[in-house]
Amino acid sequence: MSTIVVGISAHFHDAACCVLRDGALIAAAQEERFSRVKHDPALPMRAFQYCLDEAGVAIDEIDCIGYYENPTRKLERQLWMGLPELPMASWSTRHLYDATRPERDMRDMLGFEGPIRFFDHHLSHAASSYYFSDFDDAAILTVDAVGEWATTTYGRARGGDIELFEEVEFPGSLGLFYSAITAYLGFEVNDGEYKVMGLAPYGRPRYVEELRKLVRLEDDGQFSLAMEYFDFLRGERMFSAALTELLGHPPREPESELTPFAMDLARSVQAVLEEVLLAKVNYLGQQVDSRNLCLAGGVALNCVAVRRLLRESRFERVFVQPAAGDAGACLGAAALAHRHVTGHPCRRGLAHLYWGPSFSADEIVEMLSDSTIRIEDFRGRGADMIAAVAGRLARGEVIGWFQGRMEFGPRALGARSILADPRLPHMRDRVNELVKKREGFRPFAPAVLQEHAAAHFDDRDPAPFMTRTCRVVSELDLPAVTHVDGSARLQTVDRATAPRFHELLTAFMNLTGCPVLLNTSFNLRGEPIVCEPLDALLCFIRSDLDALVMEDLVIERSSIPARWLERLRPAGAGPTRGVPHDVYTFF
Amino acid sequence: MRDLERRQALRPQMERLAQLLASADGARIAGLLQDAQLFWRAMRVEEDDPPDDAPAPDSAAAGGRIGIWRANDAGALVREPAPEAWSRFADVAVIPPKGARRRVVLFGESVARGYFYDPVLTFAGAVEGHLRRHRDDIEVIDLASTGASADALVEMLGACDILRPDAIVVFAGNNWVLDRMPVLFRRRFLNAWLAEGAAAAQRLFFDELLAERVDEAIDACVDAAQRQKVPLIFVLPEFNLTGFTDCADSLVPALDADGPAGWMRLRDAAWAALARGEPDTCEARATEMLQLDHGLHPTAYRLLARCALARGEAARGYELLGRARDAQCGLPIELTPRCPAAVQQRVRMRSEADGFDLVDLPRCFAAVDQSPGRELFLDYCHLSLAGIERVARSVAAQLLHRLGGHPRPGQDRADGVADKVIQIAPIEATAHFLAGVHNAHVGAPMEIVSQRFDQALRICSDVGRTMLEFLDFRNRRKPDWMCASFDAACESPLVRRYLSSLPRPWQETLGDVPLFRALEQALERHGVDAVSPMEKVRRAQTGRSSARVSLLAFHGAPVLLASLRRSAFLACYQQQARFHLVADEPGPVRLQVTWRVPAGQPEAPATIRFNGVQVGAGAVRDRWSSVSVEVSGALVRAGTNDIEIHWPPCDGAPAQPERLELDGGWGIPPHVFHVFGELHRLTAEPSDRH
Repeated sequence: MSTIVVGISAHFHDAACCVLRDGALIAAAQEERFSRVKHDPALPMRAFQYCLDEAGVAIDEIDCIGYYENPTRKLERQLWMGLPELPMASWSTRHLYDATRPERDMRDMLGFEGPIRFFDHHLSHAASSYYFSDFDDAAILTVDAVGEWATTTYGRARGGDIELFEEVEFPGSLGLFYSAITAYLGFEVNDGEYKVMGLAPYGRPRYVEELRKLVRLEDDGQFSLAMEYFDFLRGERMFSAALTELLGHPPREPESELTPFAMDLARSVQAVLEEVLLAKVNYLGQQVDSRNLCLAGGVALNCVAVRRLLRESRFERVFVQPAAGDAGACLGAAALAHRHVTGHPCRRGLAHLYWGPSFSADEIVEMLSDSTIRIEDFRGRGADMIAAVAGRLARGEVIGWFQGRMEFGPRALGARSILADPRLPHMRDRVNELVKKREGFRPFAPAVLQEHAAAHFDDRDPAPFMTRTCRVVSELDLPAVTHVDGSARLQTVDRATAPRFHELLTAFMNLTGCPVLLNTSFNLRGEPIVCEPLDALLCFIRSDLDALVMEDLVIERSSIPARWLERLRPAGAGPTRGVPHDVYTFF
Repeated sequence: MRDLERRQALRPQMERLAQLLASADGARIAGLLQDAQLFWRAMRVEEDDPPDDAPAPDSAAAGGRIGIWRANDAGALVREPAPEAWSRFADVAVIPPKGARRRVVLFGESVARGYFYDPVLTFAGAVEGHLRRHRDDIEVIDLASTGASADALVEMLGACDILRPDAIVVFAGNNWVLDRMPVLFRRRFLNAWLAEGAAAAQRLFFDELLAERVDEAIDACVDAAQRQKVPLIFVLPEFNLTGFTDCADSLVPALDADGPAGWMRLRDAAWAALARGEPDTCEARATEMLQLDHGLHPTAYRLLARCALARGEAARGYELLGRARDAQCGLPIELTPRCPAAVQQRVRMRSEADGFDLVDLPRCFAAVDQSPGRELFLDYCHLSLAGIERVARSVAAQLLHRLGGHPRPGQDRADGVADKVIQIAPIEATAHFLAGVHNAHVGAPMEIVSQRFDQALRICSDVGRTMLEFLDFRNRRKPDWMCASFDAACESPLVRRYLSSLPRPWQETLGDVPLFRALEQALERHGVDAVSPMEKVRRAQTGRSSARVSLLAFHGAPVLLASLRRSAFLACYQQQARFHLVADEPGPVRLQVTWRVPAGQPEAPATIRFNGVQVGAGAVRDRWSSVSVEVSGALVRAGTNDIEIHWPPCDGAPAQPERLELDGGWGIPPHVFHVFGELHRLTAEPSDRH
């Protein structure tokens, strides 16, 4: 009999589910991909059903569900935060104060009757990193906005055992520090932090001194926030009026022009975050006798900071859980539950992130049959398809690429990706104009053949998950994937784990001499990454991508029936403004 | 910092409070604390804020907007570029500025749109047609909106001044039982349910919430008329009392202990007595049912009504059918739109008190001894052409009375709706077809559905082509818009409008297999080859021979039932749960079932039938268990196969007041219907066993 364990994260944001069989990951997916509600916090019923289907198990075969946080301890902190109002302000927020809800939902909505284990939020993060790294011994740092009380934890692991030996408690939170500035810059909290990181290289660190006043470094692993500058304890805003006074500039209105002040502030918050992280990682290095560092928690998604930690700390190897946010915590909860049920750690390592659903070319043909759309059918001629798509990319086309199992986590890694030629100077603007409709300053990421990576990027280690940045050192000009500071968020593509993507990159290199493609997630602005063929088709119709490739099938833009365009294209959606050109000249 | 220090001092207390809230008593504690806060706030609002501090009803008017139209500089109202909302309103791009004509403005819900006939024939058009037989200088502006809530009506009435009406007609009230419960009331409602039972909660709904909602809507009507100093005519809706039943007759109320089983025995005995022509026995059993279900289920009332009508007591029969209509109003379940007696009576009272005109459909129909049945309605509340014609005539007469107008001999032009339909029978046929589809979706018996389809084909056999197109796109496993047949069917503006105005769950194929069969059989009866071509389509779409398929996505429950509760498993509210498997060719099949009965119910046998033949049986416990059933290839036919799970009877299910209280404490509504069994998995795959 196999041991079946399910991990769940839910009820805050980015709900997700995974399943382990005998300690090996079988499937993992975020609920948003099925519900099509971005960052969907709801109990992941569809993801749960998918995981069971993928594992081929029924609900009565599950030995345990691991849940990614301790609801009672979280409630303590929420009640404390809500003071002086007790215990809840409105019906609509009542569920936030219902510590029994996670278990009740798993019983009533999922129907699960077996044992449920609740693990502390940061322990789940820590486990999601350590158990899915290939380290036997490691130091562990988890950093996010807040879990129950902890916002940062320090730990060590060896031989499958994790010990968290110190934590920083709420409201001292690096995640909330960064989020508060994200909100100040007019971006959405829990969503816009990446934009701040992307904006930072355009600015100068003019406000570092001011922002240092917000975070006080203390002894050991501790730090605290100067709460007079923050308002997240009481109000609905992240920051207080005192911050405006300190900075001497009002907060930026959402969607308004990005001024030099905004860029400078972004640069400054990034610098201060890196300083604090580096100091605390160095402290961790003093406490733990290991050359390996495991990172998780939302702040670990700051790949710029991760690069600095790798270069400047004493750790030689860093593993960042690629789904470092709350979605990925379900992996840790499952790993801990497996440990609890069997007494043994789960299998280690994470060779790839393709843990979501897949769809065969036959299924896609079936879906498209009896419609008037024209398909170029390469079934049985996979090499021809690869050659045809590589040719399109070389001609400057922007392609929707849908292959195999969907990625788990926030990054598209060649299964649900939009691909383009990174050498073309206009390609970043073009991709933004055609489909992404996102802020023009944000860079796109390069995917490179692993065996050619060193010739073009200064990172010598495989980087299959886009978890850190590196410098572009290529002799090729790669403007579409090179950030203003010469950095790039790299994905190295390995034949063993992403064979078809590898084939495509190889074919593109053979045509052009360039083993790199621009790779961005396959979605429209504000929508989750596509999951099913229908999602991909809808995204294709609603965008201006040149072609859609799903498994062995290629669909050209011109073959979309006029009726579909008429019916499904949104009215009035247009490209967003890019960064004005004077930004580049100014700097 | 002081704030932080104060908080830190209270941390131990918060930790203790969290532990209490997470305990078994947590819901109760939280509920009490929240009640105190909510009621405190409510009382403060009542004391501190005079009623006229409420948001001005004409806020939309201030923005020059009403419904989907916005005023332009020339004084016309132009439709806003938000096509997703257009299908709920009149298909009118521009409402011109008021000219020399006297202007009647019509507000209302889907009934007032002329649902199923819209946009080709509308209720507003019918009223205008009647008016113009007598006066040329009159127009009807159609602001009726499918799905309009009481709040939406109030908002639109607040904005109607920009149209400068000479008379206001409001035809509404069917949707008022469906509107959302305000937070404060929901809490009181659940408290009443927990303390005194569902009947007490329903009384609270009728006596307070619904009464208040009616008053707010009527106040808005009266205010609008008074602002403009124009007559107000309110059309009070009626329900298809004798011609419609929903799926509730096959459901059992969620009663304590062995109540469900006893109730089922009484129900079966009552129907049997009725079939034997023994109304007295039927009445006795139905009365006992009422004692068990406290009038919160329609079946007993329907049985009693049948007895009364059988004895020729028409008024009593209609009154009982009205009670059946109202039985489930206010309970936390999906309902079809309806205007319950509580609304009707309150509107009548307000009409007398406020002096506005009332076109009282229940009384209008009764006055001419016309039973509110299938001649007047196409489904539960939407009017047939004859119904539209009849109501429009009454409204027009009232308007002429108020606005002045006299028949002009020799100028009584024949442009009424009925006259048009004689020339355009396809429209009437299409409306009947769509009504059949709609009835099926809301769980009407297939007999009613089939009658609509037969009627459609009798009126105009050309509608068969649209029916085939409908069958084609609904049988394909892809979105409608991907199908050429969908495009073809949508050439009919009636079909296009009907499909685009449906809420999302209704657009899915959940309960459509019985509907497909009724439609195919109707077509076959009228000489159209439908069964075989559609089986071919289904086989091509769903008959992948090597795949394991989940049958839970295509079970035969109506949409209303499917949306009762959200979960990762299927709650079966009917003792016989039906599913369908499409096979591309005969061959052995393996079914895998994971099932259970409700908590506390004893282990009991359930059976699985495949195309009517028992293929499996097993003891079902109140814990999940899985069984695998091999189905012989001889039983499997190419095309659609029927799978039925017969759940055990519901004797011995214990009451769970603690659970009810716990759920209620966290705002989770109790079950209204008995759950016979639950399925977490029902899959079919080809089997290699022969």
